[in-house]
Amino acid sequence: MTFFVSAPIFVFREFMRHRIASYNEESGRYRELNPVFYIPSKERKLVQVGKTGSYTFEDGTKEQFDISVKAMKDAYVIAYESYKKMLDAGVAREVARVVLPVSTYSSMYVSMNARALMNFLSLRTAREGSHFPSYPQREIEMVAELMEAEFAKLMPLTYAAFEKSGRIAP
Amino acid sequence: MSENNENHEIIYRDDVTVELKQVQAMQMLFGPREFLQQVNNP
Repeated sequence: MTFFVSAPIFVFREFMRHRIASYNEESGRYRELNPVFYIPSKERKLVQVGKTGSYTFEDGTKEQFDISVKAMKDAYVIAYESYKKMLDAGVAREVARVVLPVSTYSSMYVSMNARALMNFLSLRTAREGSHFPSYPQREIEMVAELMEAEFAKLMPLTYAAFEKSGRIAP
Repeated sequence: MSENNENHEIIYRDDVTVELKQVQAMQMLFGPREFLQQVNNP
């Protein structure tokens, strides 16, 4: 199966740890990157509670959300202006892009087979009743949920077997 | 949402998108016997 995914670069950093897929990502060397940046939605849990290896995430306050969004936007404006300044001065795209943050949106084609996709889903979605619980970062889980919906539509029998076996890839 | 900053418009997003582009596979053909039995006899 081949998916076209649009998400921030930090999601792709995690994604590409899954070496069972093949990837073809938009290049920042051969084209100018668009000023599209990630900011969390109001529903995104902002506060980590508990010690390393055993923690949960909880809702942030309105103040924490506002501080985060403002800090991100301020940083993105400075970063993109610096990027454009270098490009306008004739600096190469591959050099100018180093100022852009990992929250810059990118896009890629991901190809994987059904087993690889089930392995990805078992690790990047948090579900009650999974045989092995996983604790993915929310943003990659958002991608995984959309891929799972496509998988369930496309291969209903395989998907049902995946669910029935506790969401373990065979 | 988007905002104008000097000469360029910055777009802020809080979502991700996924599109299924191509399928070159049949449903699961390989795997442990128990899993295949579940696929074949749901």
